[in-house]
Amino acid sequence: MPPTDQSLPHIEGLYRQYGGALLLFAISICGESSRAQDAVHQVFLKLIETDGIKNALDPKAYLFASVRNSLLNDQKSRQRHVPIESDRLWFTPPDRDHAAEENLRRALQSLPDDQRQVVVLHIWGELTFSQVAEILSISANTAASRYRYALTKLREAMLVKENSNA
Amino acid sequence: MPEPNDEQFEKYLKNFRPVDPEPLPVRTRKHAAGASSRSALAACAVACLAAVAVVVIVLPRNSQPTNDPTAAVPRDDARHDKIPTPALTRLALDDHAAFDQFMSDKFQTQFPSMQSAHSALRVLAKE
Repeated sequence: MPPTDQSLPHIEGLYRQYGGALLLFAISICGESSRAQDAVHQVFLKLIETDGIKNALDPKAYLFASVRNSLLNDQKSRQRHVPIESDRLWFTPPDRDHAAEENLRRALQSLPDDQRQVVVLHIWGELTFSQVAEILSISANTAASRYRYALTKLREAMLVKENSNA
Repeated sequence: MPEPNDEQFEKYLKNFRPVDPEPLPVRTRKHAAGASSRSALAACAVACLAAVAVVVIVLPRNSQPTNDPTAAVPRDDARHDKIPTPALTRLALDDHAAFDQFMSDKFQTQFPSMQSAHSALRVLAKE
C-alpha cells in the first residue's frame, strides 16, 4: 500500500527522532558505518513504500527489530564477520570532548556483541527490557542481566582508559 | 575520577548523542526533482519571453499597412527613393515634369559618377 500524504511526514518524523539510535544499533551489530547506514535507509524506504508502520503496535520497537532483521539477513548472505570500524564517530560528545567519545566507543567495541546491543538499545534507544527482549528474541531477565554485566564492563573499561590518560 | 553508581553512569552515557544518519534518499530525490522542475520552469519562462520578444519585434515590421506604395519598400531601398513600377507609371502619366525630375535624380544616385576624370563612363564617352 503506498503511503498517504499524512504517513510520509510521520515516517520522516520517526527517522529524525530515532535515526541516530537506529544507526548506532546497526553499527553495534554489523560494525560498518556504511552498511549500518544502508540498513537504516532500507528499512525507512520500505516503510515509505509500503506504509507498514501503520500496523505496528510499537513503532519504535518495530523499527529497531526491522533494522536488526535487515542486517542479519545481509550478514547471512555475506557469511563473514566484519571487525568493528574504529575510525568513525559514533556519538556527538558533550562539550566536544572527542577523547571521551573515543573512550566510550572503544569501551563499547570491547563488549561482546549481545551485551553491546542490549546497552545500545536500553540507553540510547531508550527501550525497556521487555522491548529489548522482544527485539533480540530473548527473555526480559536475560536482557536485564546482560545489561548489568555490560554496564559494569563498560564502566571499568572507561575508567581504566581515563586513569591511563591521567 | 570516583567510581559512579549505575544511575550516574547511565546519565553520563546519555550525554553522548548518537550521530544522526544521512538524510533519507527519498528526501534527496524529492529535492532533486524539485530543483529539476524549477529549472524546467525557468527554461520555459525564458522560452516564453523569447517568443514574446520575437512577436513584439518582428511582427510589427511585417504587418505595416500596404496602402502606401512606398511603405513596403525595404529601408535600404527607401534611401534611394525607389518607387514601384505602377506608381512610377502613374507619375509619368499624371505629371511628366515631376517624372523627368525624378528620373534625373535617380540617374545621378544610381549610376556611377561621371565627375571624376578617370571614371569609366567618361573614358567610354570620349571614345
